[in-house]
Amino acid sequence: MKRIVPIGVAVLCGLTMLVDFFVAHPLVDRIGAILVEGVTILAAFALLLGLLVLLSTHARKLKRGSQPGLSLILLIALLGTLAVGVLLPGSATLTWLFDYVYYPLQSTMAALLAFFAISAVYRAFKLRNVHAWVLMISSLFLFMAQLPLAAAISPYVPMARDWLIAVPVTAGMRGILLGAALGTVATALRILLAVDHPYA
Amino acid sequence: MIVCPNCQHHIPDDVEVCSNCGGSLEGFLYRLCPACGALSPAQNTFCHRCLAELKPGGAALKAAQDETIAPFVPTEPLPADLLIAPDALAQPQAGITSEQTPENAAADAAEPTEEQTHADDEGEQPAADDSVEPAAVAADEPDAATVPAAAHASEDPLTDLAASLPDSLIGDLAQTQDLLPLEAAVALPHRAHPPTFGRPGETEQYDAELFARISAEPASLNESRHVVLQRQQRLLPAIGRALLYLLVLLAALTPLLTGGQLFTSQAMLPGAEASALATSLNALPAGAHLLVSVDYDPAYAGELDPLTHTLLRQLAEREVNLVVMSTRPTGMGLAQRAFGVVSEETAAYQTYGERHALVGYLAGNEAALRTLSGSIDAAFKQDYVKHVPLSQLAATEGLATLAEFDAIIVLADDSQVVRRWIEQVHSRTQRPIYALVSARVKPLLQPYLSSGQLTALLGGASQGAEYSAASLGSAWKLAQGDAYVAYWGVLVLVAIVTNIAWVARKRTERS
Amino acid sequence: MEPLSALIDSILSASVDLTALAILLVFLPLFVVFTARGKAGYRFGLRPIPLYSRIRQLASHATESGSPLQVSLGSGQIGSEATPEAAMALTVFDYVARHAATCAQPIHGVSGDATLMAAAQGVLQNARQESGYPENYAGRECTFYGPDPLAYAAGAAGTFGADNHLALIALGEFGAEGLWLSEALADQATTRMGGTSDPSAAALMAASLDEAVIGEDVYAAGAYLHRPSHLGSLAAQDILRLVIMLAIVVGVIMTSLGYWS
Repeated sequence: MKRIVPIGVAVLCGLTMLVDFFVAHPLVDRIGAILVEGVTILAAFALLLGLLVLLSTHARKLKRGSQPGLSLILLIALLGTLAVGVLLPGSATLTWLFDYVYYPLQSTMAALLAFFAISAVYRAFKLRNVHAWVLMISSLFLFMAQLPLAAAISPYVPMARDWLIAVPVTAGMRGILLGAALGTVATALRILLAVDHPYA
Repeated sequence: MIVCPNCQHHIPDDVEVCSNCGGSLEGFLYRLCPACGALSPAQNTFCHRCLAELKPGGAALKAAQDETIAPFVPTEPLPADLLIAPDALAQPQAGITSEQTPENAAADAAEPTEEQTHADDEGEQPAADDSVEPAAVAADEPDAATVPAAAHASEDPLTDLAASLPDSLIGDLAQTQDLLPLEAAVALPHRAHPPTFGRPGETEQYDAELFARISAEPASLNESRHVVLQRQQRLLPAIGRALLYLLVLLAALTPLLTGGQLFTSQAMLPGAEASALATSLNALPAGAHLLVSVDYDPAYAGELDPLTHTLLRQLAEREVNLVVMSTRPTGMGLAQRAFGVVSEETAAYQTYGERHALVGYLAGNEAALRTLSGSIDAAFKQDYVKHVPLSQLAATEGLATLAEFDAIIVLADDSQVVRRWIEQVHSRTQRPIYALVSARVKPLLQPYLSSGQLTALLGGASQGAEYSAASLGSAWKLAQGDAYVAYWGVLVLVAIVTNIAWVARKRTERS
Repeated sequence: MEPLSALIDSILSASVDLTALAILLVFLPLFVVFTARGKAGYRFGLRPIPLYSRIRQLASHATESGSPLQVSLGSGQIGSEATPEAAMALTVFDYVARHAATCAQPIHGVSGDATLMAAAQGVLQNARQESGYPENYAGRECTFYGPDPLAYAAGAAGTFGADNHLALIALGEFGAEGLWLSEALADQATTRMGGTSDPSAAALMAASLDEAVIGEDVYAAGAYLHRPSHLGSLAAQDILRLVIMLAIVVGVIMTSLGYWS
């Protein structure tokens, strides 16, 4: 019973949403909308749960003494932003926090990708097989072809770039997306028909 | 009980098909302990937790076997070299056992083993050889009553043994006898015969055959040939990594040295896609309504902010009504930053609410977009800046559904976001969607452009610069563009260096 | 009964997405038949995917060594379009968690979405309970580092080094943070593997991870990790893939001959 009820609820909701996808009818749409709102509410509660887990994890680290400084910074930043967001929504303080704390932090984190990409490339560009050759030549060419100097080298370079993106790259992407879509359908059917229930 | 591998239900052992899901129970992974309820691997005979028997009716089966199968009785005496034969130890045991089983003792004494016979022939009479054999044979039928008797009988065996040995052999060991309580250990009853084994039952026979089959079968998926070894060395030495990162840093600092010479309105030649977007947006009439969704994170601001700023500048020149929203929590912050720049440049957009409105963050992904496509008021009760109903703002007055917008522009760093807009909004409202995305996800959206579900698609800073060249009449430049060229140079350098290092390493290994 | 029949009539007369329905109707019988065969014990041939072999080996290795594996489940929200990918991440986590739970060993799941974290907690609790060690379950074994992908990657990388993990399995929905996470751990002498179905992110991860899967291989996780029902649906997928290939070829020929515009 402990398993049957959640699985039953999941199957029922899934099938309702499936019908809602295929059938454009006011009543079905309304039921679908209610379920969808339920998903949003559940996600919000899950976020609250996640927040509590994060708080407890770092409170424990603070107490235990493993990297307490970092945990302290996290807790102060989290609670401070939360307080400003709840008490002063849309205020200048919140905008200041976004502009001078969050925005630069995010940009810095993303900028690290340029560094990490180089160290990954160092390993991936070793020409030990055909794949590595294809990877290296296509990467260097496509990167170069997007630069303004590409057109200066030859007018055919941008044309070659457009052809590469429009034909082989798109074909490969479509193939992968079709396969992934089949996998998605199969996984969804397994859950809808209660063949599999990875959530419990 | 076993656990169904398909539905995890607990099923009795003797069932072949799961009563819950109907699936086969062949190859089940876990067995349920009847005593403590723990799950143990299927091949286990005993529970890994409480050591209870896991096999079905194992206790009853064992009892039945004990009754029906006679205990093992050796048909001939054991070889003498397996027996304990020091004089001092054998003497008292022999006395006791011969008392308990005189018949056996007498019979075995009359039939000496091969080794004993051989020893007799050589004239090396083993000490008390007549008593060794009975000691072993008599122990076939151990009796609890013999144990204390044995303990009493072996008074001081070590003293006798020590007396019979030469002094040179004893040496320093003479002082250790008190440290080793050998008397007690020697006095314990020893099993001098092999344990009794019952005849294997059907289950055991099956298990044995199964085990033999599994161990003889080649491992599936070549697992046995693919050995997992933990990587013990770093893929790139720390110094090499530091050098690479230094090169990237130098590339990033290039614009400071060059001042931005490559990505300028003079140097850029707008491509067909960028030109088409600029032309399409220029064709919008003044007063048209556009929905702009800023769906990217600040992480991609370096790539997408120039595109956003150019777009808003062009739309501001056209004096259209802009409704700005986001499906990302951080999107409105980015939108506010962008409008801060535009409102400084264009007088028509300095007063909030007249020509533009920030309606806010829409939580709930595709579900929320679906709601939005049906009714704007249902999705946004009030705006983000003034917290008033949308009907009170001039820019949004009279707008009820997305179908009333002239176009929708999505700025995104994730292909799934654009897909959501296509699936949930375009399919319902048929409004044209312009997607301006990061270069990484552009190829993923190319099929949607080909199929006409997207009206325009631009990707990355490079196409953003082309679009700027096509749409902004005045001179402009993207200073950071020079860093892209420098980064490409670093990539080429790394490609050369890594292969030279690799070839050199291979040569060293060969030599 | 009249309102009911009126409702049925109105539903039948409503507009239906026929293309999608046709695809579903072709796929559904194949799915049912092959799944039933898979559950009945029919063995389908599987090509080797090294990642899943290594996951099996590492799960056992982790159990023996006592060093936990870190399973990074990605940022796929349950309830969004990333649900199937999140389900596969949970399947892998379930497999590893059961191995660890059987011998009361630790395990660590990190997710970039709160709904996924809650589901992972459920999976782990179930595994601990069924192995007979419910007291070993601690909710903090499944952690959440915020809905921001890069914050999630930074959090996962931070805990990896601190808790002496044996290996990283990053399978689920990932974007550029997959590369971030993988490369942040490249300095440590540890095995990193995983994958995602998003081709643009998978390309980055494949260049960085020791072992990677891309695209639909992500959805094959269950079939390779001892879930018989997944075997059948994998076979059904292959059949439908053949049908699609055939349809593409026929479409190209017909269009080239001028029968379709």
